Amino acid sequence: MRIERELMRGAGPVAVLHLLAEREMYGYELAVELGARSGGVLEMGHSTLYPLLYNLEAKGWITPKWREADSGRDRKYYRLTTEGRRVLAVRREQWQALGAAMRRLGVLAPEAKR
Amino acid sequence: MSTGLPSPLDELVRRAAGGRDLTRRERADVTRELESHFEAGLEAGVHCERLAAEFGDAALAARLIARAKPRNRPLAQRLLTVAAQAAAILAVVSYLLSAARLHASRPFLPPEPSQAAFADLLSSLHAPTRHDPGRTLGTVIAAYDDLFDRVYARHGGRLTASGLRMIQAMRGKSDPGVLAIALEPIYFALPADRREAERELGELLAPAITALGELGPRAAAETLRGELRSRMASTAWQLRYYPVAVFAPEVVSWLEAG
Repeated sequence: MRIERELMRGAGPVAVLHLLAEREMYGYELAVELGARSGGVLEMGHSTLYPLLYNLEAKGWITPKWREADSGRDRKYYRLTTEGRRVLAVRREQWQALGAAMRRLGVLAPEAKR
Repeated sequence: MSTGLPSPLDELVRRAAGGRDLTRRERADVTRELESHFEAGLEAGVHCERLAAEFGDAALAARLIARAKPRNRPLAQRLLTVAAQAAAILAVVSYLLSAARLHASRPFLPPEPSQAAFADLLSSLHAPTRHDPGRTLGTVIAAYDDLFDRVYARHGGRLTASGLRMIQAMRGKSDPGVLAIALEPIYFALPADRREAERELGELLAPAITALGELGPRAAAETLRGELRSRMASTAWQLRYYPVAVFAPEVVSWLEAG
C-alpha cells in the first residue's frame, strides 16, 4: 500500500527516530529496516531518506559519525541525541493519542484484546 | 570526479549531489555518503538496476538535499550567507532606484552643451570687476544657474541623466558607451539635489569673494583653489556635487584671468 506524501511527512521522521533509538545505523541500513519492519508501508525512495536525515540532523535530533563498518568500509552512522530522544517520546505520545482518537471515531478498527 | 561505482549509480550520485547551493565540502560529504549507500547495497547482493530503482528520482533528491544540507551549516555561516544575500538584493534595489531617479525626470531647460559651455558662459556674462565682488559673485552664480537649469530636474531639483550626459559632452565626451551609462547610477547613487548644490556652491565661493574684495582677483583665485583642493580630496564630495565640482576649476581660471 502506498501512503500519501502528507502522511509520510509526519510518519517518516518518527519512524527513523524510533529505529535510531534502538541502535545507530547508516543510511542504507535504515532504508532497508524501514521497509522490512513496516511491511513495506513506510518504505521510502532512498533518495528522500537522506534529505530527511539532514533535516533531523539540522534540528539536533540525530548526529552523524563516519566510522569503519564490519565490512571494513567507511559508513556514516547516525545516532539519536538526547534532544532526539525527548522529541521521540513526545511524538510517540501524540501518535498514540491520534490512534486512540481514530479508533474511538471508528476510522481505525478497535485494538484486538490481548 | 568518478566514484568508482558502476556507471548508472555513479551518475545517480553525481546528479543527487550536484545541487548548486551546496558548498564544496557539503557536496563531497553527500557524494561520499551516497557512494557508501550504493556500496552497502552492492555488498548486500542487490543488483545495480534495483539499487537505482530503489533510490528514485535523482533530480528530486538533488533539490531536497540542496535544501536540507545547508541547514546544518554553523549559525555564523548561515548568518553570513543571509547577510550576503540581503546585501546583494539591497545593491540591486539601490541600483534600480538610482537609475530610476536619474532617468525619470528631465532638466528645467533642455541640456544643450553648446549654449551651456561653462567657460563661454562666464565670459559672455559681465567681466569681473576687481572692486565689485557682488557683480563677480553674480556672474559666477548666473553661469552656474544656467548650468543647473540644464542639469537638475524642474521638480524636486533632482540630478538627471541627460544633464550628466550634457556635462560629459561639454568635457568632450559626447558619445558615452553602454558601460558608462550603466555605471552612472552607481557613481551618482547619492547626488545632492539642486538646493544642496546651490548651498555648497555658496559656501565654496564665500571666502573667495571676500578675498576678491580685499585683495583682488589673484588672491580670490588662490583662495578658491585652496577651498576646492580640500573638497576635491573627497571622491564622495566630487560625485555628490558633480556639477559644482566639475566646473569650479573654470571659475578659478576665470578669476585668474581677471
